[in-house]
Amino acid sequence: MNWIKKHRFGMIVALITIILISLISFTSQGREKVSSIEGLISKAMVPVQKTIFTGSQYVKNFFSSIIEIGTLKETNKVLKEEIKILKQQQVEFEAIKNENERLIKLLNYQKSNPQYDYSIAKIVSIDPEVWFNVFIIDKGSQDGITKNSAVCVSEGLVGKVVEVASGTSKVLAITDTGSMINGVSSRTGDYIRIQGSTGSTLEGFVVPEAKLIPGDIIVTSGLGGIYPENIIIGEVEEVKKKVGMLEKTVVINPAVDFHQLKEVIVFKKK
Amino acid sequence: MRLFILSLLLLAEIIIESSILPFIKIKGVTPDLVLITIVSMGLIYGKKEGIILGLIGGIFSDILFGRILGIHGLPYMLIGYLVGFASEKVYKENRIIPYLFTLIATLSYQGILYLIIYLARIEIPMDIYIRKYTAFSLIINGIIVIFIYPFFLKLSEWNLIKQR
Repeated sequence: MNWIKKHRFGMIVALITIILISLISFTSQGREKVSSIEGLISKAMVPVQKTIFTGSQYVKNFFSSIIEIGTLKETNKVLKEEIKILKQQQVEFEAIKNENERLIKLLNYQKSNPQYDYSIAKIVSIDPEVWFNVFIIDKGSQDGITKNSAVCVSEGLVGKVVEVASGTSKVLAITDTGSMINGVSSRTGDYIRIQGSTGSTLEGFVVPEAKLIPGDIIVTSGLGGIYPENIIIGEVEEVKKKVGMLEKTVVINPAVDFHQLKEVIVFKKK
Repeated sequence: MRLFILSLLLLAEIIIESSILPFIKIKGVTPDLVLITIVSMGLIYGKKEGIILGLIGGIFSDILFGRILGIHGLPYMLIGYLVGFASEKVYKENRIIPYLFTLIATLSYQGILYLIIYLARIEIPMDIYIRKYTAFSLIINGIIVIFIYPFFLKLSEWNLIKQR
């Protein structure tokens, strides 16, 4: 009896060991079903574990954001750089989009006026001395452009070519004071002599009998051989009659916004 | 009362081990809090507590995240018993003793586990685990026990725990 008392722990341990080993061997080959007691305990623990797990995820995120503070400056720098690049790309994208729209417009113009050869040119520079009235395009004699070719955009007449180099040409805008066009009022059929004037408007001269009113559309007459017929020049803004003058003065608002020009169509004689 | 409180502590540790500690793995190893607790308790209280707590901790671990019943329970209980057995012959306030015991317990825990897995022909690549992680788990468990053992010693002076 004394021996058993002395070694009771050892015996208990041995007994439990045997039980556990048999348990292990029973359960080691994979069980289909979990016993009900186990299931109950697991079930009871699941919400607790879930809560703590989620909680510790928050804690982990918190700590990792603390750890990230050291690298934040670096990350910020990289991101700012990226934003810069993306902004640049966006600007480029916008530009390409606008260009695309303009080109589509020009294309439509070409389709509706097939009697000429066209070539689309880009404005490469604007003569600074005469400000916006003379500009250079990137097509020249190589592309079949000759002097006095008409230049326009889909909205209307822009000007004419005054100098041709092999790769570039100089275009004189209709708003230049040295430019002279013969126009016709599409409603009344009155002929108008149109000159450039100071500012962005055109100045026209008509005979006193002409019945022009503001809002009349002026198109090219085709006389003079430079400009083709029926290209919109602009809209009558004001008709003035000065005392002592033989002609009426007409202020014409050009149809083309000269500040927005990027590409133009050059008419080539066939 | 003592056993009840300590069992609750073990349960809490198992939950912590299975839910919080996976987030702070070091080289894929989490500290084995249950093992450390069993070693400490065995040292402080003796054989009986070692056996019972080892069994409770092991069975809880088995049920909560083990596939095979008893695979943790057996080594934990044996370790609790052996530590309790040895605790009668050592001075438990010594700082080196729990550290040494933890190292030995970690090694023998994995040894027993390996033996069981080998004998029961369970297909767990334990040898890879041992080769890869044993060194780290030794280091981590050793570090943890240094900090946690004084706390367990203080706990043992608590009135609720002092009474049987």
